[in-house]
Amino acid sequence: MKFYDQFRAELSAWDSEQLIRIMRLIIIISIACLLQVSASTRAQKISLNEKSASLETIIRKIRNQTNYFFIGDTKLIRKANLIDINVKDVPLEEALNLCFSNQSLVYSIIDKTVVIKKKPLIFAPALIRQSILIKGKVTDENGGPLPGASVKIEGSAAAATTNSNGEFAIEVPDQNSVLLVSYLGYEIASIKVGNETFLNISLKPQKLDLNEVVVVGYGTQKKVNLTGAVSMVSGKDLATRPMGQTSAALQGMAPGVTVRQSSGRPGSDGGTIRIRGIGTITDPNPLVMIDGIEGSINNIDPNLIESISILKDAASSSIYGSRAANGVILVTTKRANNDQTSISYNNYIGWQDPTNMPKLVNALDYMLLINEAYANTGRTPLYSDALIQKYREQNGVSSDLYPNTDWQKETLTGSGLQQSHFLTIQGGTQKVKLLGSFGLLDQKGIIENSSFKRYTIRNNADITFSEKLKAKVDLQYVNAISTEPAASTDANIGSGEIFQWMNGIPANQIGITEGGQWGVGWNGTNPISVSRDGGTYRLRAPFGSINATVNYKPVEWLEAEAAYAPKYALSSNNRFKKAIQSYLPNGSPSFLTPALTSLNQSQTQSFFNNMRATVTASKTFNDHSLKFLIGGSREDYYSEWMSGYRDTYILPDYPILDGGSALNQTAKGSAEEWALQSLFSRLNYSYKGKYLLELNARYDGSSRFADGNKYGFFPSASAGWRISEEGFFNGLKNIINEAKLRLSWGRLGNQNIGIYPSITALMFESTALGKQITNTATLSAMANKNISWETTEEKNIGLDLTIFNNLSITADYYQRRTRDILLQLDVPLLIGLIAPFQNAGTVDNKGWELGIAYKGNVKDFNYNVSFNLSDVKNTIVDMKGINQTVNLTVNREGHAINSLFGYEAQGFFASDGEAVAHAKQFGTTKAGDIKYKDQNGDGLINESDKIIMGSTIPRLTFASSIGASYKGFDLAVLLQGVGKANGYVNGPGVLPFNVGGALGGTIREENKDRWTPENPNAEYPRLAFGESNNEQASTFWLRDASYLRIKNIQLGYTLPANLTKKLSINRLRVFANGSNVASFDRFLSGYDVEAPVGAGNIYPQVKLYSFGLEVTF
Amino acid sequence: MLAVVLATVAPSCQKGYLDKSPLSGPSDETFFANQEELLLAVNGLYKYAAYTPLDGMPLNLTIDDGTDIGWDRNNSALQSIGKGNQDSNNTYAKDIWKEAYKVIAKCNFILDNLDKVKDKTTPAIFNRSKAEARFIRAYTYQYLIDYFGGVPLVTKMLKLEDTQIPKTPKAELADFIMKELTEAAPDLPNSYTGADVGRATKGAALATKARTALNNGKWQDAADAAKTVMDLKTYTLHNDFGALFSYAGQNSNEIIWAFQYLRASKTKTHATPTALLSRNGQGFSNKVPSQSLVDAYPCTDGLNIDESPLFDPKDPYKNRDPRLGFTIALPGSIYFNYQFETHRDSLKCWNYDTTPAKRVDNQEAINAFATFTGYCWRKYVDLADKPDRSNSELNVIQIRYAEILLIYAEAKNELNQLDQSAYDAINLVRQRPSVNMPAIASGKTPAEFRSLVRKERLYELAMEGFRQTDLRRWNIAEKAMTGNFYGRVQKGLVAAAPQIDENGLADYSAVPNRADMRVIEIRTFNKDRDYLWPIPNIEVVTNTKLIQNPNY
Repeated sequence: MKFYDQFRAELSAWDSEQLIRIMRLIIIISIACLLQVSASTRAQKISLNEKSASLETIIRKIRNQTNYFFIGDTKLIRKANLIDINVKDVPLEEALNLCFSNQSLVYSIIDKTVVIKKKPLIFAPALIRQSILIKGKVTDENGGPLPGASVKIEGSAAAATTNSNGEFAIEVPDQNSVLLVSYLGYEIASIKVGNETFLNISLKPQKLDLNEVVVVGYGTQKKVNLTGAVSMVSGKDLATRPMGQTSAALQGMAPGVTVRQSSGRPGSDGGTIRIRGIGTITDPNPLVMIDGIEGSINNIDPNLIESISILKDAASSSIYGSRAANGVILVTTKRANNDQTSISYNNYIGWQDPTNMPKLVNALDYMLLINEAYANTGRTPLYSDALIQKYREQNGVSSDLYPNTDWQKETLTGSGLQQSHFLTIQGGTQKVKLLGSFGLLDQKGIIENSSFKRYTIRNNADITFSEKLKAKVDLQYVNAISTEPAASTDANIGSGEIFQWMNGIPANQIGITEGGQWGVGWNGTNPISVSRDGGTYRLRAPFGSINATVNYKPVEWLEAEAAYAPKYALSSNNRFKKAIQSYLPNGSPSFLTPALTSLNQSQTQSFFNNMRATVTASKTFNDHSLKFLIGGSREDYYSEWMSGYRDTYILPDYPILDGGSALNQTAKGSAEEWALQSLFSRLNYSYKGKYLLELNARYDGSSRFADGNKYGFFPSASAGWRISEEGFFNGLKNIINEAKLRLSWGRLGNQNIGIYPSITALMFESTALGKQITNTATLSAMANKNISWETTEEKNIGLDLTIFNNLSITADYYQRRTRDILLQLDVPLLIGLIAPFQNAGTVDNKGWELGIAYKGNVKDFNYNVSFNLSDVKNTIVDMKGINQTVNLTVNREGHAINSLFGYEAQGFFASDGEAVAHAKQFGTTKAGDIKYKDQNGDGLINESDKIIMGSTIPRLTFASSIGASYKGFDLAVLLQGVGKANGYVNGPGVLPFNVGGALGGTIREENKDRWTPENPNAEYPRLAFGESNNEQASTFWLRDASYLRIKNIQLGYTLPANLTKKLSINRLRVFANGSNVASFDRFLSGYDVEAPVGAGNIYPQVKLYSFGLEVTF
Repeated sequence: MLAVVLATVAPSCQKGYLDKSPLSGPSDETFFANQEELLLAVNGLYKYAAYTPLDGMPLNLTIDDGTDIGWDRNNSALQSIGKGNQDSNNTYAKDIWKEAYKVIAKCNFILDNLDKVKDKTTPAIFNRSKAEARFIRAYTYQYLIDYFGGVPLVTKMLKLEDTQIPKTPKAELADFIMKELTEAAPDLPNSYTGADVGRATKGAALATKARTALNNGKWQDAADAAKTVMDLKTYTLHNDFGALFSYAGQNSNEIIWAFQYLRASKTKTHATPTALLSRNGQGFSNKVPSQSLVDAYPCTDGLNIDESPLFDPKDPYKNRDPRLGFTIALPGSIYFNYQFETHRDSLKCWNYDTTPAKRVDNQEAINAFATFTGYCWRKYVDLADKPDRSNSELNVIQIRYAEILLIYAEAKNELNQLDQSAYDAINLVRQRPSVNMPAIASGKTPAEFRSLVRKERLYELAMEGFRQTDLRRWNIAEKAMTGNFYGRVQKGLVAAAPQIDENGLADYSAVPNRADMRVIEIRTFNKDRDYLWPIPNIEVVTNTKLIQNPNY
């Protein structure tokens, strides 16, 4: 625990020196954990990854991996040339050939002994005469050197390896010789020597890797053998974009995975992830497993991620049973992969800007327009002509007497600096490998006192005790600190309220007086003073976790694994809300808002235990290959919280509880717990690698349900047919390299419906009687003891194709039906209790997905293009006949979840007479008011005339990523969009004179195009103060929310290796990046097209322009 | 290793692992184990009975701002009700319906389960608790039927499948309420001390019965119940009418039942002062009295201002029923330590907060959102709330003795039993020391007396939450709530007294400068619809046996 103490101290004032100390600490601790490790292994295959290693070292390494002895003259061996080598699981001879290719030594193998001798000087004369010395350089697709690549002569044992500059020298028999150049992860290049004596050989990354492995539930699977619908996203692709939250970085990365980012608020700028539509109503978030442990996708720095697997269909996710109904996201973190020692560092620094802000009218226009609205409704105008004349004379300037405040300009800081630093150190030996990471993300908001900082430390260790026994010990500590002005006590709105006020308060109110004091703003609410001086809401959410796994493989075909992963998380909230004194222009104090300075501090501690064990047996008999997994797990959670409150801070510089008055102090607290235990199993069978079958089952027991309903069973089956492996396909194999048909069916559950849904607890509270505090106990919710699991059934058919080696296509069609959805159906209010959950709903999601990727090159110009497109149609099939009404978004049978509900607008009334003759609407309607269609023709517009106007679930989501590289330059572009969606902004976001729901707010420039007798073809209805007719939810305010967005552009340059080598740098890349660069849409001006349905009171989405570098030593 | 696997896997070896019960409080199944739990549950009724449907204010302090005598400046559902454009999604009506049934359910929960602890409770506590729950339930139904007419009668905890309940006719509900209160009253004490103050009393039960009877035209029951309260001799009128609605009057013998508040430890507060206060007083003035209410108050001779020789249009607030000044902040008066002046040319005013007083900018003249009518409410505004105007701990009276006396007077008159006791009752109210209006001489016709008692209710009870029901009970809402809703003349005074009718309603059509009066909104009242509020739409959708009130 000393480690944590020290760590916390470090975090308070971080600098580079302390960073180094921290890194040292990690390494010391990790090594301390692993000190006693020593054992020897015997195997015939050799893996080596060395740079400039002495032959002595190589011999020692080979001896450790084999039972071979080495004999030779030590002096000679010490004089041998240094060796660069990178091979994996190759026969001993191949490794030795590479090692001796550049030496004046030769070797021979006698029994199990390697004898090393001086190379005989006598060659056959003919050979000497004819042989040609060829030199060359091997580079990667970006022109970077590839040290340790192997260069062989076709049909000969002669071989060479490249040195640290990627250079090699080899003697070939003649000009017709063909060199075979290979490097792990790259395609083998075969080059005819010809007349050249210096060859520049650029390797292409491997396009089709039959051995590519995909992480699946509780294991891995070769991609070719997958039978379910699984999308893979590599960590590399995520980390290239400067996104603070991994969820947002997933946007556009995989078909069928819809990510919607609605806000740019630091720390809350993640996206909501929906996999294949919305299957449930209560909590449609997918399950996220980080190295096998349930976690949050946003607590993990994208730089830590090796890969992400998204399990989309029921067959691949049913092994997660009752938590998998919304899909599963498996995050695998990076591990040290070689016994290579390296340090890499990357960073970026950038500036944020809001993507959209509404344009608002100035003070004079505001006053004229509100007077017009008053007059239109028969009221006495609000502002006198004399006052308006004064404003005219002042001509746009702002003064205390006649204020003209630009609230946006005064409140926005104009810059939001964002930076990220990430350091990775890896090293170790064949037995102990370590990867330590340290990350810092520092994001400032576009208003004062708004920021997010995240410190990440992760140390992944792999220990090999013996060939049979291995272990992994991962330690992680993340501290996320978000800060924002203590504006709203509602955490969901948070600083969104400041945006609502800066977009709502009329310009004729004072922000800052000429004397430099805070102006009154709107009844004492002033976004300028609240953001700059109103105190802060700070959330510190550190968590630490250990993930320890032991893997035992007693025999080749059997493997057992046990893991224990405790996690401790703390959430510490500190809302210090300062009373701000506002002043009248003459300097006399006005509103003190809020009346009292207060501190509300709360802490939630949660303890999460996760134990699991699996046994895997795999065996191949002739053409039959079998793999069987069985496992069990237990997870439990306990959380407790407490909060304290005090107010009246005489000395607001001490924002601690003791600094306030004890008079109004309060203390609150409670606790909750749940447990889940499960058995699961999977069987894989494959015949001749052609016919694939997979069966999964999970049996979950959850504490959330009452006895009798605690357990649920979730089976699935899937099959694959690799058509390309059939004999009849041989002729096509050169064109279609891989073709696979997949079919699957499965059943999933959902238990995310609150912790005690079947039990109702009374609430302990207090009230006043006789001017004293009296305790109370209250029943407020209704229980339903009969509730049980939601179950989702899904059928999937998919096709995977690889054409011409570099075009891959994946297509899926699915039907998923969720039954017994736990719903809080509208119940009559006369029950007097909060509605219970009922297993009441059925929802269908039907959709398809298409993913296409192409890689190609023209000489040194490499490029890749990928495109994904998906669609899902969501329909509520059954809600027990209870149709939701009233709200703007409703759940109704026959329509999508959260459909928009309102009246059908039919333009404006052309005359007062038309308004009178039309069905009775709302209040007093006149010419220029919105006309609604009387759907049922009863002469009265009311609830029963409302229709489903549209859906809030985006359809036809698509994305395309384009990458290109030429020599050292690389370019990556991500386009992302939605083909069909509806958006709706209501209330103060769009209605004139409406601020925070009250009357008198400002009006957007756009709303000036209003109906008047002279302007009957206006965009907006007449101004009518205090009349609700035009404010009704209707198709009039509905907007098309489809869009195409240039989500990200990155241009990078990798400095030439020979330049960076001089600085002992292996690789150095610099880049410039733009996020949310441009958007093409037809949405309401002033609002981001991804903005959620609502009043627009959100912290807007931001653009980010950044620069950074990546360096590896 | 395998042992570890098996131990983890075997689900049956530790049965308790999945048995988790809420840690936050007792479950509804095990509750009512002892007297303490019963008391905790009953205490909870008082917490939830005092809900705030609008702006942090309890129901009765807001609702008059949806009538002829007041206005809600916020674009609220209450404003819609005042203006006559409420629909079936009106959130003010919906919240009252919803919160009322929540209170009823909490009462039913106690009444359904009370017998579990009968043998563990002292009989007095047991009987009192039962009577308290019945009182609060009846009190809640009482105002529900005032606003909605017939509503579903729920007297038990409901199961999901039992919720399709039709309306019970209003008259039957009135009988139910009165019966409940009759039965509860004997088990309730006359008064409480210490930490029990604020619980239901015998007087509160009988007074609620009287109110129910009156509002439902059961004159005999009303008179009888009111008489029983009078005969308790527990209550007397508070001498200082103004102080009754301030901290100084919180313990008055006039108060029969009040919602209790306490600021310490944020226990329970309301935000009334913020909503009512003037701009100088740093309030929002978003609930304001109307010009017509100001003009309804008579002169000290007891005559309406259009008849009284004491009325001077140039000094209109002089020689008026003192309750005008106690109820409403009038221009020229001191309000929250400021000189309150709403004439738009009065750019400066006195601030008496400092010694000596200072001349300061007068926000009531400068600020566009200063009170639209030119007046503010004064009841429940106490300078003691200055440190935190949004968290007042001033108790809010629900029933007070003056109402009982006026119920008695009105019911006796409607019964045609206009005897001296009726005159005594109304005169007691008129002649409390701080009001001192001339006594009403006997010998009035029933119609004359009806006019007097109706106006008396207005003068006495304005802003306390009676107007909505009174207008409807007297069938004068369509007259009172149609046309222009007026505020003062912004730079001057109403040139002459408007005509005041027998119900105290003002008619400005003959006022010479009525074009200069501020038109705040134009109201309509559909007499075929607006006498009842809409039943929340969601309720009609989910309870198919419930029929919406006409024309919504």
